[in-house]
Amino acid sequence: MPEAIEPRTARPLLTPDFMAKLEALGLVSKKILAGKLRGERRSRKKGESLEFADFRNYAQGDDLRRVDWSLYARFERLFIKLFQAEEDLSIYLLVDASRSMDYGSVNKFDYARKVAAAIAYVGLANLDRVCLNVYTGKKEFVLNDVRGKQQTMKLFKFLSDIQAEGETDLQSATKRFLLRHRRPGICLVLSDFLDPQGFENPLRALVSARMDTFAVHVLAPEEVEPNLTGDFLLVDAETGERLDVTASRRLVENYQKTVRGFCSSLQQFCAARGVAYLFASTDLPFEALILNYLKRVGLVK
Amino acid sequence: MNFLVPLGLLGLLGIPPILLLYFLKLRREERVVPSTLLWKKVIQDLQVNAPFQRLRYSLLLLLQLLLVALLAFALARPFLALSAKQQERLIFLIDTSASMATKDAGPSGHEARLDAAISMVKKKLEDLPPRAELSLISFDQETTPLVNFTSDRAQVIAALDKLEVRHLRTHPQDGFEVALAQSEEHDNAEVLVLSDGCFDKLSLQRLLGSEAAGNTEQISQQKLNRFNFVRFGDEETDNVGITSINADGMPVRGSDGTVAIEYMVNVKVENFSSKDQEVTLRVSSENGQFAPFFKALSLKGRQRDDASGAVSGALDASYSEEAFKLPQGTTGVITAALVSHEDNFALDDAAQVVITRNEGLKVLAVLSDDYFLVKALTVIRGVQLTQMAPQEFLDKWSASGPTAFESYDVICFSGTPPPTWERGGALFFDALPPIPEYLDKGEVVEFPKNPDWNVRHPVMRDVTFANVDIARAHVWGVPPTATKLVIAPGDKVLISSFENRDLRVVACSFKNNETNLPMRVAFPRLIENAVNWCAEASPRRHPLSLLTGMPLILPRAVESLDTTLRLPTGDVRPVKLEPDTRTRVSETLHVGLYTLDAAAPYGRTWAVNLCDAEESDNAAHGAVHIGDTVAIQSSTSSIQSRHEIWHWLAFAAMGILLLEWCVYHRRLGL
Repeated sequence: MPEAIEPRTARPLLTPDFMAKLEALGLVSKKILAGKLRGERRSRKKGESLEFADFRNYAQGDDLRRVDWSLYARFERLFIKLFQAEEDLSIYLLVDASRSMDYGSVNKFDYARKVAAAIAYVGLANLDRVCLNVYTGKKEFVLNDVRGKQQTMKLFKFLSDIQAEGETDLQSATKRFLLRHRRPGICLVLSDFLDPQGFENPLRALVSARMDTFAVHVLAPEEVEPNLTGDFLLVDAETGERLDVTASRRLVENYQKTVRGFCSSLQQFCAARGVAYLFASTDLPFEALILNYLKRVGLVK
Repeated sequence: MNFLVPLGLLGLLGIPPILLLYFLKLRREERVVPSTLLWKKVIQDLQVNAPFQRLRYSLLLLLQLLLVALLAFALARPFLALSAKQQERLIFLIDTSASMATKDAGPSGHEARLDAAISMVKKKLEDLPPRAELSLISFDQETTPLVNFTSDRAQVIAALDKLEVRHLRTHPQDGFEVALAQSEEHDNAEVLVLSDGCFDKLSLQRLLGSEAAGNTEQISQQKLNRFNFVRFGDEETDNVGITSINADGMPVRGSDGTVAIEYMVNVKVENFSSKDQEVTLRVSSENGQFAPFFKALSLKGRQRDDASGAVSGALDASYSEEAFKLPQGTTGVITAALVSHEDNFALDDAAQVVITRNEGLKVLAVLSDDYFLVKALTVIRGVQLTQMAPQEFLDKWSASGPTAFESYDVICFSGTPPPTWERGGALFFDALPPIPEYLDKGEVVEFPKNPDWNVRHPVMRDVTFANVDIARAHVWGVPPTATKLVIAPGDKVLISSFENRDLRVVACSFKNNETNLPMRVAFPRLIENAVNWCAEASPRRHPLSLLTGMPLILPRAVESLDTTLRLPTGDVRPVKLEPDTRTRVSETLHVGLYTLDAAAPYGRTWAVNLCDAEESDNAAHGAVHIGDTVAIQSSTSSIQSRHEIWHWLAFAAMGILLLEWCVYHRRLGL
């Protein structure tokens, strides 16, 4: 009897052990970003946390419960005691689900959504607000404002249900994302960035919107070092465009050089704009990516 | 590069179908990639030459195209033209001398040199343009123009097919002169000398004639540049050969007073190779009159000077002279042969000599009073002397003519000459020889002082005229071709010798009793020498052992007689014996026995031998030397006008086929 094929959606994205490890992590933003709700992160705003921030003179209408009576006894003037406000952190995950991501012995899209799931779980565990934007060409799958670990399964199911399709259109996807989400936050872009229109404008737009942006460049090893010799008809997974190639050693070397140049140009673009760049080859275990490499770029601690 | 079969290039038409099939049947493997974005960038520059980009890296296609091209070229039989000149007129000067029978030429290295030369000429004929005119000259001892300039190939080939080695020595001078003359008459045609070069240097003076002295070296060189020498044969030889054989008869007087001849066969064996050789010489009789003699010989090798080919080193150790004393009474054919030795030149491995006489010299003395002459003739060993009075001689002469005296080897006339003397050997003392141009000037010389004498002539061997006084001598005019043996001052000939094809005479213009010569020891020596020298012209003494090229002199018959002569080749040639003249057969072109098929006393056998050290020394020479300064080096480029290379192309095609097989099965890619 053939073994029953397990539906991909039923496969858990993260293992319990790994999730336990993730709970010990927290997302870090280099910027202090304004939250929407009260959360666990210190805000520029003065709020009601237990952490003392400052004093100010009493003004009419202030809550008398916040008057520091000890100071009044000393200075015979009314002072209001101010505390640090604590807000939540918005974590935006932009996941490329175009057909180009559906490639590789370790599927690039699977890899990307696992990374997205892990980051989202870290955010949920820290009561951060997680927004998932998965764009597949013209279509877009959005899961907004998920908060708290109880939303984990919902988030996992959302990610698992999406199939890679359509063409890469980072620019329009970014545009639509920014129209919906004006509040700055950590924005993690998971893509192969193989967009005919370029990666520059989308990333520039995210930076302009004061997003703390992380570019995770997901590529399969077969893309970086293709094992091609002879005559091939290369078919573009997204557009279906066909390209005759007689893959000589020299041609393959030139291709590898071009890939390295492409990665290098993306990295330089990101570095120039304060965007953290992380090259993620799918042959790198994604657990190692989360626990080691994302720590190295400062996304998690 | 030229092609013998240009139609073979039609095979190149196989290339377009291969290209077509390549494009039509090119099965590209479909491979889905995330994006062709980067691939497009990579091949952007290559797409400029898109049609050829496909071809560039398809090794299999390239190999297939190369394979077809190579096969097409191979079918077209390409060749490299080795000779820049396209000869319109060509003279082949072919050596047919004995050494050309050496079997060390040709592709196998065991072909006769002449056969290899003929094959090469035939091959050359194929290469020449059809309008080219050819001349064919052969040379050995003689020069024979075989074909005058003609473009008729069949005629040339027919002449070549008739060519055979003639067992003669090489005299190339005439051949070169004829070829040069032909060349000058026909637009300075090129001369191809096909030979082994086994001959001495040619005379530059004779070749270029009087021009040689006056012309500049440049012009001489220009003339000689027409000669191209193609050598046949190895420069190293293994030949050991018999270079001399003769049978010397020693008269032995029996107890009964009769003289018999005991023969000593002298054989000279020479080693012409550079290696030491061990050979066995056998001397045997044709009819088994004695048990064969065997003699083992150890001959040292010869060292040659590489540049000139001249022999150096100890020559005396490279040959051996052996003498074999035959039992008394031996006659017939005696054969000396080298046994237990095989070399590539068989002509000198055996030699024969014919012994017919078993009696001494018969000398007739026609004199009335010459005591000293009779005494001197009597003491000559082996001579059977008969005396006859002059009148008796004249009577017999007038009765029977000269044939009455053909049984004598030599006739000595003292005081009275015969009416005529046309053949045979004779000594004349104080008798003017009846030979044209022997004239009595009517002068007399008395006591000539300090006569001069020719010590080189055989008659004067060991003879001195010092302290010889002659009281009175006639002054005779002698023929221009006569040899003056003793001359008195004023060019007055006292003793002379004369010889032609039929006779030998020695004439002495003084009486033996008017000189003190008979008192000298020189006198009997002079008489013996003269008798022996004149005896060579005796009809009885015509040699039956000859060298190739020498004529056979057939005997006279009483009446005309038609008979045949069997040659060593087995051929039979009709000959006619005449009563008045001796028939000469000059075609002794092969070594061996020539037999006249006639009853006694005419039937006889001649042994013809090569016995020529120059021909036996058959190591081919790398150059033909003309004069002291000119050397025409051997070069095969003049005879090989093309070099076909189709087989190399075929090998390359096979290699490419193998490579394609490897590439196909291993899926190698460049």
